[in-house]
Amino acid sequence: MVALPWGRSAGRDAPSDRVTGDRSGRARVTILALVVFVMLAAIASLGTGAAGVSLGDVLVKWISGEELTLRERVVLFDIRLPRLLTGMLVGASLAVSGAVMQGLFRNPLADPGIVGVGAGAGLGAVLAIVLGAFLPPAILAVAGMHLVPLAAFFGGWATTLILYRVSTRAGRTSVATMLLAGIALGALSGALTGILVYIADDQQLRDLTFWGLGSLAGAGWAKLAAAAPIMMLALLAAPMLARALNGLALGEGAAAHLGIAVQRMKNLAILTVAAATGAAVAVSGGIGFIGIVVPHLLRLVMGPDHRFLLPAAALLGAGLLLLADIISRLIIAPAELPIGIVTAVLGGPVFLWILLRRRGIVDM
Amino acid sequence: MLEARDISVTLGRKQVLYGAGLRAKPGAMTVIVGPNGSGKTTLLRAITGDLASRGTVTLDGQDMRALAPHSLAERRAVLPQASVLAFPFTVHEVVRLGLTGRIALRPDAAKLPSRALEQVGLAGYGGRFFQELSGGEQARAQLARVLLQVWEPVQDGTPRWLFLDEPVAALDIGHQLQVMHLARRFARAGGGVVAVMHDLNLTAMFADRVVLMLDGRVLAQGAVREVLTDQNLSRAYGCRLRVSSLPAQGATYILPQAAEIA
Amino acid sequence: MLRATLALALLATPLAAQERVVVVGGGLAEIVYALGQEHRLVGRDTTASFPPEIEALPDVGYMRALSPEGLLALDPDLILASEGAGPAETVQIMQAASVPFVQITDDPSPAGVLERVMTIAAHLDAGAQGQALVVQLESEFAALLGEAEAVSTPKRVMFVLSAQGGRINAAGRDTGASAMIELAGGVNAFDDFAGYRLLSDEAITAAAPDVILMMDRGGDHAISDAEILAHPALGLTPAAETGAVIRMNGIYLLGFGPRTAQAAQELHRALYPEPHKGG
Repeated sequence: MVALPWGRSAGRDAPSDRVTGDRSGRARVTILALVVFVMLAAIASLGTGAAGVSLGDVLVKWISGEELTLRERVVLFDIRLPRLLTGMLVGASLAVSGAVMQGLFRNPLADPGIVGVGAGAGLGAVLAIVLGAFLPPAILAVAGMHLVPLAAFFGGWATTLILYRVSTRAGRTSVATMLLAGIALGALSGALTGILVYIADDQQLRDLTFWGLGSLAGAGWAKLAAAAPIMMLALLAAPMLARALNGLALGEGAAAHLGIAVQRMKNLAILTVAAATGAAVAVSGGIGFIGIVVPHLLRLVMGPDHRFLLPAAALLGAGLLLLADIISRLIIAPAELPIGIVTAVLGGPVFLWILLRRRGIVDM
Repeated sequence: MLEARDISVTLGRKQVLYGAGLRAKPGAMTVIVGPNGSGKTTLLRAITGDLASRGTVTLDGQDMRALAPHSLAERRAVLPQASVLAFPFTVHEVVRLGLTGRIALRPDAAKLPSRALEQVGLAGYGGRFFQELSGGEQARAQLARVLLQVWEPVQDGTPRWLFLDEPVAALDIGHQLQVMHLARRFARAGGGVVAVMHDLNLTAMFADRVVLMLDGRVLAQGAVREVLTDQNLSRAYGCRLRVSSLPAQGATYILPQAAEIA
Repeated sequence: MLRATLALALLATPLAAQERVVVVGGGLAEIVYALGQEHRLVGRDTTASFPPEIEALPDVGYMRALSPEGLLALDPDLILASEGAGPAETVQIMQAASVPFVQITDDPSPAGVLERVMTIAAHLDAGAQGQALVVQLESEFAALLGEAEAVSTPKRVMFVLSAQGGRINAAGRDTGASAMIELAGGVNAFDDFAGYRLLSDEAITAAAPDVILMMDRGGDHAISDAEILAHPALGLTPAAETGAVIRMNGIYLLGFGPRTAQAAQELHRALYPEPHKGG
């Protein structure tokens, strides 16, 4: 018997999933555990912060009918709550985008960053930061402080559209062409960003650096209201892709023979990734490693079945981003460490560890 | 009844099929043979829709290309030659992917994957990783998945079809026979089987109908004895081959030892 | 001058004094100290590093990426911030929490300095101290102006912000550095672009600065006299030939706070070391 990476079976009477190879029970337990994890992370996120407003005190006041102070209200409802929701949606969007992209490209190392969606969104943001001042005042007045997020979203969207046009011939999208075109578009976006960085002034440069590191510090109701519907639509669409992504693991031909409308599913997958990544990058800047580490960890625990992987990725992504955010706001309080630094510091080594441990399976 | 007519395929700038056609009946096993490069796999892939082609393909009078993927999947399953799996699925999880459409609604659906594995001689392999199996075991695991997709050879009076591209290429002789018997059993139960084969003896043993191809065209098709003749085979394979038969069962066989290279 | 008088009139109606003040901006923090109001401070941003005692206060981070909860954690009743502090979301939340968030001009000029002093004095109920400081600064600036105007052939000064990897980032027009050079009676060697730019070797050679000015900080950005001489472009400038390299503390030189006149005076003396009488 080949040694398998997972642990003991759940019950003593039923044959273990090690023998049957049916890991759906394990996956369901994992998802339940993740729901609890996200709830705990959410409570921790609401209850922690530099301002020292404690959730317990607020609950006691609420039960006894006492008025909250203005500061407690602002901290809880204007700072922590929108930030909690933004963090959950961004984490879930990044992790699900990663899982969908990996399934679509049949490559466990694929990431929205790889096909240039991230770079395109970044270019949009840099354009807005550097050239925003030259826009007609009318547009500035309408876009206001959403200019950078909107530009990031359209940047990601435009990149995906170009990518799609380049790699689709006669209604069929070639994943290999898309990967190569993505690398080229990523390089082009990087070069254009470089030119803009060159003409940026000192203050804009510092803005660019901070934006690139990613942060939830600017998460407020206004930004959330703009980006949440897009991320939620993408997250709701993702489960529809599960069966198709499982089929695609066998190859496009085999997927089609299993009754999957492959081209339509590819379209939906690309749209989902563009929307989720674009909106997430738009509200939070560049947050790395969630999209690649979360699906990897989950495949180790419960296998690659996308029917379970996609919801589990959404949950683990949401929970991990909340934890990273708690660290980012406590570690140098009252200042804040950009969350992208936290995810990179934690995610980088974890990813290397996964690569070392699972080399045989990753190098296919 | 499956009928492909006047199928032409151009790959890149090279035309590889010139108006090939075949007829296959449910309840029978139809085998496509021919030398390397004669277009047998191309013909199968044109019929299954893997390749764009000119000509018509009808299944019981319906245009097969016009059927929606999910209704087509209810009526036929396709075993590809070899395939690379993208993620570390277990054998059970791979086979389970075949559990689609109405079979998935059967009350015993959860047990079907292991029964399909038993049929291909992989009982107890469910917990292994697909990627860790040998080539032959992978081929049989894929066959189990395909069998599961058309588990009932006849569903509501409609025959279902198996398209097999070199199903025994990676197998030892024992498993070759096992798989061929499995395919024949499917046909005997009322389903249709269309297979691309290399092995003329296995073809002679199991086929009800043979389609012999040469240079992108169908050289001959019909019953084994009509198609697998000295003349046809010698012409197709470019060497003098002698077809023999055993007096006892009357089965046809071709001895490579008796061949003469032209 | 008229502007200063008008603003002084404003000081006659003091606002309620604030006791928990967070200051965001290095120059603003110096003004708070110059007004003797440092006991009101409870927090500062990363750029506020002078006087050194201020570093004992909690740091709320980079001025354009302020954390709303981090600010509220200090329980401030007033935030004095340089224009451009943000992000906008944080400013909005401060308004929601009824914490006044006062944005103060960052204009790098003597008038800007005076305006900052008056605004801060008004908000800290330090009208008398403000008035005294404004009078003092006005006379310092007037004296400086006299000395600068006496310069017959102004020197061409190049301000080097950084020289990382041999690539020279220098100040163009509309920068604090450029304003300081002019206050000190020099001219900026680069007035054909605005802001800070990485320069090509040819542009540096063509500008032919008489003096190189830079900040006296360490690390990657620092550049020694030997490196200047060895640099393919800087080494060919008149400044390198005569060894005219001036180093000054960054916030002293560019803070545009209460020490600006003094800093400009010091720069002036460094630019024109031969004794001359002003006026």
